[in-house]
Amino acid sequence: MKYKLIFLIVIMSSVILFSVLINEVKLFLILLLITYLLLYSLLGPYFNKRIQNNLDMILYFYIGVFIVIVFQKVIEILSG
Amino acid sequence: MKKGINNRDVKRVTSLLLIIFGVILLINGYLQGVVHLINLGIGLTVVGWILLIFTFSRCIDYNIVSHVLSDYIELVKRWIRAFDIKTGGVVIPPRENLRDGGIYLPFHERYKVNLSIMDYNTLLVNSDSRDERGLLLPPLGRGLRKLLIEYRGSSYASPEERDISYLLEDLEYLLNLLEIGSDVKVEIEGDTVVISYRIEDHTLCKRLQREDLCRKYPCPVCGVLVLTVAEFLNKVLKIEEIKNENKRVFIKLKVIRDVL
Repeated sequence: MKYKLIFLIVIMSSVILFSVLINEVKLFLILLLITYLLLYSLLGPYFNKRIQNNLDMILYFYIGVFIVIVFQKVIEILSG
Repeated sequence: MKKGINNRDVKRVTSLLLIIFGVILLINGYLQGVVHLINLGIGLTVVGWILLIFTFSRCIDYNIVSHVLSDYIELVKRWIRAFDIKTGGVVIPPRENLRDGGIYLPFHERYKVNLSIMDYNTLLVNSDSRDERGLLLPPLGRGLRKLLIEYRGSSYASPEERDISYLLEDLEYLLNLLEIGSDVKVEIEGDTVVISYRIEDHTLCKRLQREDLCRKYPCPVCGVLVLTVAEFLNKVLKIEEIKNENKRVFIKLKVIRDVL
């Protein structure tokens, strides 16, 4: 329970902080992905397999979003 | 069957509210063109999603496990009654001839532990000496102990693994992983070892204590703790007392020195 609480507190405070400070959706998503990855790698082993599998789904979703952002940026740079 | 609103239901409702609130903020932010609101909306939806995952996932429902275990415990109870065993169980750490360790229940109150006559196939410990006779059972926590070794790889063989903080970390990890307890403490003073932890569901504890089975043949949760401590100390331990006070379990163990 303790680790779940730490996970939620950190992700919630980073959501509030980033949403107040950052004025761009893409940057917000990337920073949230980094925070999520960091927390998942640190606290993931403390969760059971079922939770880990479900958290993986969020991770794959985020990676999908990240790929779209990167592609948009590449196209933006190439087009000039 | 339990009725009424429990803690998990509250969390589920909170997570759904967070998701709904997040989506509303996201749409509102998009329509008004406020980036901060869009960010907050996305963030709250993600937090709600994570909270929902935490509430729906439970690896072991301890209540179900306690029902499954009750048949096995009934069998052990009959053996204990049949042999009129009055002493507390003796925890034997894994050894060459006893790979997973064991719980030895001596027939007489003045007993001796003779490890040379015990092995993996022994159930009834038979000896010429009356004091060495008893019952040898596999400990109930050995499956969880194997799980701990698989996840953490701790064998307590290397010098850094011999530190008590390492043992505490292992035990805390296991209890948290299975969501069966938390806040483990181990105090070693001379020959006395006291383990204490907070248990999530003490239904099985109450039943076992009522029948005076805890002290003789501990449940899987207390079993894995005593087995791990015995393995850490590499000593044979006698279970002196197991008591449950306000959802906190205290296990008092004593090191047996004169082991043959």
